[in-house]
This record gives sequence, C-alpha cells and structure tokens, in this order.
Amino acid sequence: MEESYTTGLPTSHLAGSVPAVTAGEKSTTKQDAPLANMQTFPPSNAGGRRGQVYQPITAQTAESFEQQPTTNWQGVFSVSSYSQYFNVDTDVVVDRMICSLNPVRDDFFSKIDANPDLYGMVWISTTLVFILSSVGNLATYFSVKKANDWNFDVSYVHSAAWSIYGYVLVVPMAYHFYLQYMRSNSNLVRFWCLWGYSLTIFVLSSFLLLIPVGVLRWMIIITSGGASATFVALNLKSFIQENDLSMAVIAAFGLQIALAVFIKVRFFA
Amino acid sequence: SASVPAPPPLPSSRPEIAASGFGPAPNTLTEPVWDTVKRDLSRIISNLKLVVFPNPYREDPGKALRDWDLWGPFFFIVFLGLTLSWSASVKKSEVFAVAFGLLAAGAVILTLNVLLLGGHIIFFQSLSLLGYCLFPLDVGALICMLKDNVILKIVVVCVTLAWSSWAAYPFMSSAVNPRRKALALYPVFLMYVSVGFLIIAID
Repeated sequence: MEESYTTGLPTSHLAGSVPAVTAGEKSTTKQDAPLANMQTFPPSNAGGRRGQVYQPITAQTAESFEQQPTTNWQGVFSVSSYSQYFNVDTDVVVDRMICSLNPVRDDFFSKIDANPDLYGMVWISTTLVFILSSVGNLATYFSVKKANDWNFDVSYVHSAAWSIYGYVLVVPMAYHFYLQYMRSNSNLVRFWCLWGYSLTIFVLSSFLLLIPVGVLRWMIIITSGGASATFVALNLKSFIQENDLSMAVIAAFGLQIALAVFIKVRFFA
Repeated sequence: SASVPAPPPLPSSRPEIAASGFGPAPNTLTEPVWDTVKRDLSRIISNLKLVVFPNPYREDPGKALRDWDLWGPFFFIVFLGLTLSWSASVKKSEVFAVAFGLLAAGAVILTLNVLLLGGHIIFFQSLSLLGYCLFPLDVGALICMLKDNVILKIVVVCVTLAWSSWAAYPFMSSAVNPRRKALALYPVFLMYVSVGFLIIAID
C-alpha cells in the first residue's frame, strides 16, 4: 500500500527539504509492486529494453502485465518476488543433481532454461560447507593417536563457509559481468544455477576422502575435480557459442580444478 | 482543589477467568507475577506435549499450534547454547555464540525456505514450532554433558535427532506441496544433524 503525500503543501522553499511527491508522478497503483526481476539486473537504461523484458508468467505478473517493469526496489524485500527461482519439485532437483555428475553431456542449460532455480545453489553449497567442516574434522580425529589430544577445529567451519559461499557467489557474477562487457548474452541466475549444481560431486567425494591413504586421496580429488570442471566447461561452452571467448571457458575449468585442490589441501591434508 | 478521585473498587471476588469470550478481558496487568509465570509455563508445557510427545489424541498431526508462543523456543535455544558452552573445555563463549546463531538463524532460514517453495505457513508460528522441536536435542545435550563417553554420545544424539526430526516432520511436510516435501524437509534435517554433530564434537 502506498501512502499519498499529496497534502498540497509546497515545501521546496524550505532549505534542504525533499520535494513532496505529487499525484501525477505516481505509477498505476496495484497491490503488488513490479517484482524485482533479476533478468533486468544490472538495470539497463537502453530505451528499447524497457517494457519488452521477458518475464516468466507467474500469478503476480499475469495481473500486472500491463505495467512497465521498472527497477522498483520495493520488490527486493518481498519473499514472493524470489519464489519464482524456487519453483521446482523434488524430482526436478534430483534430476539436475544427477545430470551434474555426468561430465560428458552439455545439455544442462537447455534443461534448466525454462525454470532455473536457486534452491540447488543455496542448499548444495550449505551442505558442502557442513560436510567439509564435519568430515574434515573426522579425518583429523582418525589420524590422531590418542583420542584425548583431538580438539574440534572451528577454523574449518570458517574456511569452508568463506571459500564455498564465496566461490559459488562470486565466480558466476564475475563471468556474468565479463560476458556483458564482451557484449555476449549472459544470464546471472542460470550461471548461479550451473555453478551451484557443479558442487554436488564434491559432497559425495568428501566422504571418500576419509580414506587415510595419501595417494588415493589425490586420485579421488583429481577425478572428482576433473569431472566437475569438465561439466562446467562443456556447458559454459555450449552457452557462450562464440569462439573467441574460449579463454573464459578454459579459465572456468581451471578455477574448478583449483577449488578441488584447495578442498583437498585445506580440509584433508 | 480537587483531590485525585479514588480508583473504582475492584470486584471483591475474582473468579478464575477463563477465555470464554464473554465479559471484559482478564486484566493481566494487575495480576500477581506468579499467575503470569504459571500461565506461560503451562502454555509452554501444553505446546510441548502437542508438538514433541506422541499423542494419539492429537486431532491432526500436521495442524500447526493454535496457541504458539516464542518463550518456549527461546528457553530451549538458550538452554542448548548454555549446555554446549558448559561442555566445552575451550572457547566457551564462542561455542555459545555459534550454537545460538546457528539455531536462531537456522529457524529463520528454514521458514524462508518453505515460503520460497510456495508453502503456506505463518512466519512466527513456524519459528515457534521449530524451537519446540529442539526439546529432544536439549535432553540429549544434557545427557552428553553429564556422561562423557563417545559411544554413548553417538547413540544418544542419534536417538534424539530422530525424535526431533519426527516431531518436525508432520508440520513441515503439510505446509508445502507434496511434490516438494523433501525439498522442505531436507534443510530441517541438515540443521538438526549439524546441531547433533556439534553436541558430539564438543568435549
């Protein structure tokens, strides 16, 4: 509900006062403000884009379809404007997770095209943070001779949280901005979805990394890191479709391998 | 000069005021403190009985608490934090902070998760329910603090974890679309497992 400030009092003569909003500048009032729409992020001022941005048809947008999708910040704090990114069922999420374990196919983007979700990114990364800090501590517990010498190392929780959340939030954003800069098509939500699901394999391999044989641990992490990196790189290549951006694809591969090595070295040394 | 008029005389005999809906609301501001505490305690206990204990006469296991409150969850979260803090031999205040933050933020995030998945719950009612479902883990943490044996800890934590999850299951699963049940329940399970792990690992 928007209050109307049309008291009619002229206040612009008061030094430093904010001019009152007049009725003429009000947009059409509906009970739902235009939703915060990540497809228009960052807000673009290109004239042709306004009013023609594709919005997935949800219950709310169907009502307010005639409204211009302005970048109105009122939608940022309402839960309903984000529920379009969580519109998935259990079998859909499981199917996407299984697809991420398979490094050979590059159809992930076509799978998520109609309905990219952030559920996978949020909860797979949270699971990985928990698994790394708990299984990592368990691994040190098994390698200690006497049980009394072992202490739960809280720094594992800090490292896990900063590294995993940082990686899964920052890397897709960096790619999104880079591709926008190179004037290629790019979609932040789909990138977050891709990188989020690519962490699934690390959740599984963390349990295997409990085995205390040094060489075996390196083999496990190289295999799973390689699979995950191939998954990311192949799908990114199918999305970008421009040959002179192949360095970006190779960099994505390299970053995922670096994450895998970091996990092994930091948590399962 | 007018003196202050005397306040209207209170009725000499106050019958036990039940929420009957008739007559004026009970004047809770002037009642003895013990009455207030007793009323809140009895509400906490009755909510606990409804949520956590097997109750064959419960009319609908998925139905949320009618009389939810936030005192109970607050006590249980603080108690769990204190118990973990007492059990820890080093960094006691950090342990309390981690436990309290994990549980409080976790309850909020779990509720948001259900709302984002298109479920229908009331925010504070869900916080209340998730707080009450911590009671078994409180009991488990207390036992683990008193008896410091790894095998016993693992067994106790597993049992109380299962009990907590069992208590939270009907409420969470009925709040969302049945095809998304697992998506709503998994984070609850994850939070209880991480709390259980914290109980085992703190020594």
